[in-house]
Amino acid sequence: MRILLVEDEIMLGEAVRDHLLASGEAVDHSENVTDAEIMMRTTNYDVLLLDLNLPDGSGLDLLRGLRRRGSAIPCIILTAQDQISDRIAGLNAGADDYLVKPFDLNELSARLAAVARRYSGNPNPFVTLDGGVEVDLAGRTVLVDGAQTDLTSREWALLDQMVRRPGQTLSKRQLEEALYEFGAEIESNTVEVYVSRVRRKLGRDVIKTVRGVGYRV
Amino acid sequence: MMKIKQQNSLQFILTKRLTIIVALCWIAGSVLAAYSMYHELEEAADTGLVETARRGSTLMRFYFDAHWDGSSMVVMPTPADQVASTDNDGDEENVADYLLYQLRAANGDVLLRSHNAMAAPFAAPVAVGFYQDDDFRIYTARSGDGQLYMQVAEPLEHRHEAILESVAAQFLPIALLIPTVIIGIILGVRQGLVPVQRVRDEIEARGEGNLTPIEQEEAPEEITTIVSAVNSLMGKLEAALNVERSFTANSAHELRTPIAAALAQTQRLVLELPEGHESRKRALQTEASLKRLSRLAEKLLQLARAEAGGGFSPTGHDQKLGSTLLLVIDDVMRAGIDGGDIVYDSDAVATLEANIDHDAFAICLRNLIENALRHGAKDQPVEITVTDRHIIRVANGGPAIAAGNLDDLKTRFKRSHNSGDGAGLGLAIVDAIVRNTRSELKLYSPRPGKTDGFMAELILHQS
Repeated sequence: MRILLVEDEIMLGEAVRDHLLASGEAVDHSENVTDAEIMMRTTNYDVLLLDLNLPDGSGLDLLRGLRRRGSAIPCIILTAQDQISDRIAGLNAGADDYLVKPFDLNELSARLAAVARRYSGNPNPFVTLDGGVEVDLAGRTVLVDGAQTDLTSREWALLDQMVRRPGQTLSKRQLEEALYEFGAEIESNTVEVYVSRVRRKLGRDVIKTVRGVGYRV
Repeated sequence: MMKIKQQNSLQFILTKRLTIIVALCWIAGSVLAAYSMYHELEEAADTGLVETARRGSTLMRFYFDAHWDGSSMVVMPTPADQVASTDNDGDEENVADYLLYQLRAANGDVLLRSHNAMAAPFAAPVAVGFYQDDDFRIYTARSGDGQLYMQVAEPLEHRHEAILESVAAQFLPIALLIPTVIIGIILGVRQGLVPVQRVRDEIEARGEGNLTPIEQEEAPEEITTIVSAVNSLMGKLEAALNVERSFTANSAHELRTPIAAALAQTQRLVLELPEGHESRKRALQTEASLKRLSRLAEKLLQLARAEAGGGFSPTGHDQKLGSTLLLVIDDVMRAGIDGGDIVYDSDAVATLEANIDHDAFAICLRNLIENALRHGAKDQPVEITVTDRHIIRVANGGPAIAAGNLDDLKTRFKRSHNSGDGAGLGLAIVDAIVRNTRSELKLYSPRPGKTDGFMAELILHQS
């Protein structure tokens, strides 16, 4: 998934970003509302992680603005405001979940995955693919004919993008965005390389190529 | 609500003073009227004496001339119709009895007397004018030819009796009217003080949770200044409380964020250190300490907020709390506290409503449920029940707590079990909010109807 993290506390932002990167997600980190709005205009993010008290404005206003413009991006609020009324205000503004600081990084990952699954239309974390492949999106495990197969974080990120939208063809551009954070160098054949690696581990029939369009599972 | 001593109430003081003043005025007026009446009656009686003497002197002279034998005193006969009248009370009275008269010569000899007059001459000298002694008031008039004197005497006892009866007749209705006037004054004062009492009730209704200004339009002009001063004070108090609440809210943010950063960095460290690395154990200990610190900071901030006052519904009226309770339950369940399941009747929860702020209510319930999960038996569910729309009970299994220790649990840093990992502040926080919102917290152990466990009963205030 490509995630935009909007958090002005640098130490916390870095820890969250590193954790999500280690989990195979592509994370862009913004420390203020202005940068976040610019980044969202140029990139399609799968999830927005949003702090509320930001130096140049309110995260809640940013979210309301997004929803008014029709954006359906999943959003999880990360905030130190712990009152139930703050939570209700956040959910009413269009947030999908609300996590009060300090939080456990594993809990953040779990909620992130749950929100992403809800938006993909399949809240069930267990997905069965062709060729006897079973994917547990919550547990981040893959079984091939009952045997667990290890994937690198980039390989997982690629598979995760396609498994969340089974039957839907994803363009090379969409897959690149899921693999790399903002500003990172992307080789022209990166997607093909990782598709090839995943096929080698899971079987050729798992990922289908739609010529001139992209890939799907 | 503060009870005002009746003796100190404005209504009592006004009624008492008005009654005394009116009664004194009436008494003074009546005394003056009686004094005036006395003189008028004296004057009327004297006029009667004068008229009787003047007219009687001529008639008596004729009678005397016709009946005098030259030596003995003439005595007027008793009138035949003397007993012929009744007074106002229906008693027969001798209407002419009270006047006595004598016809006297210039040398003082009594020549003629009325049948009821004594034979001895009156004490009055034979000279025109009034004379009074201890028994009689006498008027002396000269006859038409100037040779004889007619003296008419009225017993003073009769005159005083007439005056006293008149004065008494004046005072009797006044004595009867005084209680009526007192009742009228009480009702009038009570009615007149209704706006003042309304302002008093408004002020009494104000508290930490309700510092809205009092409507000045309804206040009588005399206490408008007081209402303005009270409103000004409440404004300052609310501003001070808001500053305190704002401080705790900002403290929450300022404290939580660095703890969150430290915890997240520590968790990253734990994940990045390989299994078996000597620093991994220390990192795990740091993580656990940070989590404990986080919980303690949260509870201390909740306690600070609770003790800053407030907690009533912003509207001052009951509000629905069911969805808030469900959010709290969802939140606690997702927090992953190691405990039993949470069971509740969602239909009963939906009926919940009371005069309490959503945040204060959520803090109460979160603490009660967390306590039940942390300290209750892991193999028994935590039961949340709602009755009568404003009573919530949170019950858990587990060993019972000694009855003597139950109330101590509401004090800060008091734990029911030494092994518990709580901060010992949960029930102190709930107790502070309960006191602010005129609610009630009752603790039971063992649970009613069971031999074990613990139950907290929260009776919320309804407006």
